[in-house]
Amino acid sequence: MTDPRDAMLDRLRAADPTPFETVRGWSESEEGRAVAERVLRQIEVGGVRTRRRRFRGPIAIAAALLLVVGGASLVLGQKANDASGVGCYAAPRLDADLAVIPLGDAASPVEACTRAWTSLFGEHPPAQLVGCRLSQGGHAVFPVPEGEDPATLCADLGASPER
Amino acid sequence: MADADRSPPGGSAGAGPSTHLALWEGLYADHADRIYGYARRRVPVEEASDVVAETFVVARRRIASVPEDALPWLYAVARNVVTNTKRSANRRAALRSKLGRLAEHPPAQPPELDAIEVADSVLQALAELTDTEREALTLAVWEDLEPQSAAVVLGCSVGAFNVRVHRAKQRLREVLERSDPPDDRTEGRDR
Repeated sequence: MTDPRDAMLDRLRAADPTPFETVRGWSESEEGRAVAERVLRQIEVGGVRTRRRRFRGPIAIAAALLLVVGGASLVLGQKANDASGVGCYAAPRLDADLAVIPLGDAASPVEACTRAWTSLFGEHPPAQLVGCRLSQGGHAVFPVPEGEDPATLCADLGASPER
Repeated sequence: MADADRSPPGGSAGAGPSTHLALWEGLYADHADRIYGYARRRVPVEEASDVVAETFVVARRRIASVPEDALPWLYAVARNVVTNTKRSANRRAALRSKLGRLAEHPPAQPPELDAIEVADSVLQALAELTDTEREALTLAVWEDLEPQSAAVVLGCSVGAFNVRVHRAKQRLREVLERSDPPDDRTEGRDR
């Protein structure tokens, strides 16, 4: 990649404010272990909340982002009676990674997923998202591949376009 | 483990929750140091561990989608987390400005430079590059990524990445030549 004989790049390399040697082993430090525990705890808390809500019936989904990986259609089916829950799918498939989030004050499921996309999936929202109504009644939002008709995408997934 | 982990993630119906947890733990053990280093160069030190945490939260949620060569993917996520962190910092700065507090507190340097010792001429020169050029060059030189991996991080083609690095090197060279003190040859001529 970079020319090892390039003196300017050597200077740049030497100017690295955080050479790898200074952070090697960080993950095993007290701070690194604490971060790992924090991440696992965060996921765990989200999961517990999901289940409790599910058994409490059609209570509006609270503010925290809830994430359920996989089991997409099943989860959304169980959410069917909860009008404020939106399933944001990472890919145009029902078995894709899925985050169930509250509709909140968003004007539409697509807007809700667009707003939350980066924090949910760690990447910018796709250029186009489509809202579909699943056969069980749940709101689902999928990325639309370039050149594909959103209405067709919903139909291909056994759903109808969100009105 | 978490309730969420009991659902079979998409794309890997055969893998159970314990497998996914083990995968995640392996990712963290193998790559958290690198991601922490990446974050340290781009955000204030006190925010670096938050960037690592957010990056690995995303990895935990998307464990079924993490490619086998996970490091470029993790860098890409971390890059987005850093961008969001900066946006938030910028929003806070804008708010402070609106409230008229800016006069009391001199404007901070761009967040990405906070962790950099700008006194060094190379880093000062680096700061003069565009974000795109700087990111490409530092991925190559500091993160030591091959073009294929760096292109994944930046979401561009390998060709586009190589062009960015080439331009960045050119620009860096120009800035350094402009800002470096006169060399021996020049001094000799002056005598």
